[in-house]
Amino acid sequence: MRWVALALTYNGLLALCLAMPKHYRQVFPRHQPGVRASLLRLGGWLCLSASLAASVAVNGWAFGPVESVGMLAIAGLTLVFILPYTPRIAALAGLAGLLSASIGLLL
Amino acid sequence: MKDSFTQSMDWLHTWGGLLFGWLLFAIFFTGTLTVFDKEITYWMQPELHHLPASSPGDIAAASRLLETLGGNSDHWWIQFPTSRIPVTRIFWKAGDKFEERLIDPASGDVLAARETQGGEFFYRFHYQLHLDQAGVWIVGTAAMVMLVALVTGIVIHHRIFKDFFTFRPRASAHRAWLDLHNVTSVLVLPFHVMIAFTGLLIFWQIYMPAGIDLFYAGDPEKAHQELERHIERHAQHSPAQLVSLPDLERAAREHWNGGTTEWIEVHHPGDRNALVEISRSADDRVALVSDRVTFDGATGELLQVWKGDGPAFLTYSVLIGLHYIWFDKTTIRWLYFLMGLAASVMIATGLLLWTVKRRERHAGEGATVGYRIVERLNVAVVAGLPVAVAGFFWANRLLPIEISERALWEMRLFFLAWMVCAAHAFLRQNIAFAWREQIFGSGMLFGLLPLLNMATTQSHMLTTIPSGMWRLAAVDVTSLAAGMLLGWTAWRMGRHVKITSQATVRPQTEAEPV
Repeated sequence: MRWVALALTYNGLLALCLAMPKHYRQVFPRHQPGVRASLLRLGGWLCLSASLAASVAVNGWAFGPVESVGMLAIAGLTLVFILPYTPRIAALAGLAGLLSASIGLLL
Repeated sequence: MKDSFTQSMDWLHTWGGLLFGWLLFAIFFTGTLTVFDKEITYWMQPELHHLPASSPGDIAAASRLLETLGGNSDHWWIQFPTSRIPVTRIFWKAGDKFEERLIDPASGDVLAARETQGGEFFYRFHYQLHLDQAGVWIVGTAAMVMLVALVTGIVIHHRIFKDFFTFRPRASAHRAWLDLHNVTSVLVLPFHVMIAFTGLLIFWQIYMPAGIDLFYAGDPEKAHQELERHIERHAQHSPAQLVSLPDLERAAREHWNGGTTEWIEVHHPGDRNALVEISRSADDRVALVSDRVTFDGATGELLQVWKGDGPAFLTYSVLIGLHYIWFDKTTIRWLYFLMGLAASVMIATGLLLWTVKRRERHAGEGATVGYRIVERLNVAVVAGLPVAVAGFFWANRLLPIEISERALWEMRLFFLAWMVCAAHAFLRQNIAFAWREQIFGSGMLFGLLPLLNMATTQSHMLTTIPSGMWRLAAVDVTSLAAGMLLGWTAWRMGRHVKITSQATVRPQTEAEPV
């Protein structure tokens, strides 16, 4: 469940990041986000809300938000440090995280 | 008007940050290590590593030991093993001094462990720089400046949302360092604000004594007494058998809803007026407050059940609990460690920016004395402190176990290593080499620490990892990772030095980034 929270945080931030044209172009050099920007923004906030919910579900209301804020910071820094070097991997890491988290949930 | 306001904020951020930056870097770096203070202490006493993890303390054995060792003492303490350090500790007051012994929780035998301050060293440095009250004031001032730097930093950051995810390592040096400074500030901002604010709050009675002066005649003890309501009794000097402590501990736990015992404190043991205070461990809650049950030590009568749940007191306990993180949550502990590192990077890059900005502005001109001092101090603190920290770990393993003042010698070697780094930073002609050599030095010391550990103890990576002793293994693994990262940085700097020395002939043209 902790991995789920972390994957959701990372993907939430990734979506919000890709909603900005200059970062979208980093990953997809020939495209503009266009209408996808609003979708990404919506998805991003949904992911972040879900990650807070997951953290609270594991840790309760006392520790959950503390863990959530910490994950926001560290997932954000991870994304920011990968993005300029290997933008594709930054995006794929999000997918891989989501995939492994959902497999973990199903098992 | 707006411009002049932003400019004055910029001025405050630059000069406040510069003046306190070195101090703040040292406070944050040692604070980051303090996140794992107990784990470091445990790692630094290999004599305790054979103890099984998390066995409950044998109270009867501990109290028997206190009766023989501290028989004449009027005040006893027993601290129980935790998941962070699996050892029972007993203390007693002998005259004006306190005696301490470590004991095996299961057998009750006294353990001989090497003398070391362990993680406590970083903890004391973090909040008082080993200067007692004066240090508390200096650190408090630095924390205040940190809050000012955070607020002014937000004001002068024009593109806080537009550049939320922006990091351009391949842009000009100034741009790249500024981006790094910005992302480590903005993304970790809630932590920075929380940690600086709650840090100030811990010593509220020292920094803002007005309330205590007004309501308690300037005596903080009176305020504590009103908050914590300890029962106080004098000894009657007529002997009486002390009630069985295990029974009292069991009775106390019934008030705690599954909580465990951290401390047993006995006043006037063996006296008719003996008092037994049993405190709950705060390892399962954010608030740093220990609920307490007090018994009459001669009759076993329940005298008081105290819970620190008054609204103001609980608010305070939650806030300082967020700073101390004495609760046992491994994920949150690691997140704090990483955020503390991010804070250290934020401060270090801020310091670097001061010189980078001026280097570009005065390209070719002779640098002023002030500029040179800042440049050298940056090396001495940002690159030198990690060398000293790594040296402290080496000293712990290499100093002979039986020398007197061993713990003090570890500290002396830490400060000696740091002074050597400072001297090196000022004496090395080429500053790029000064940076590189010190970063390389700390990289080697951290990277080779696991090997040193293998040579000097039985509890090294090859034994701790297979047997799942993660709290010990993590110290070695983290040190190895830090060593590799620092070594890689030094290697990259070496390449960079070569490239820039070839490129200095060409005039630098800097395009304004989008």
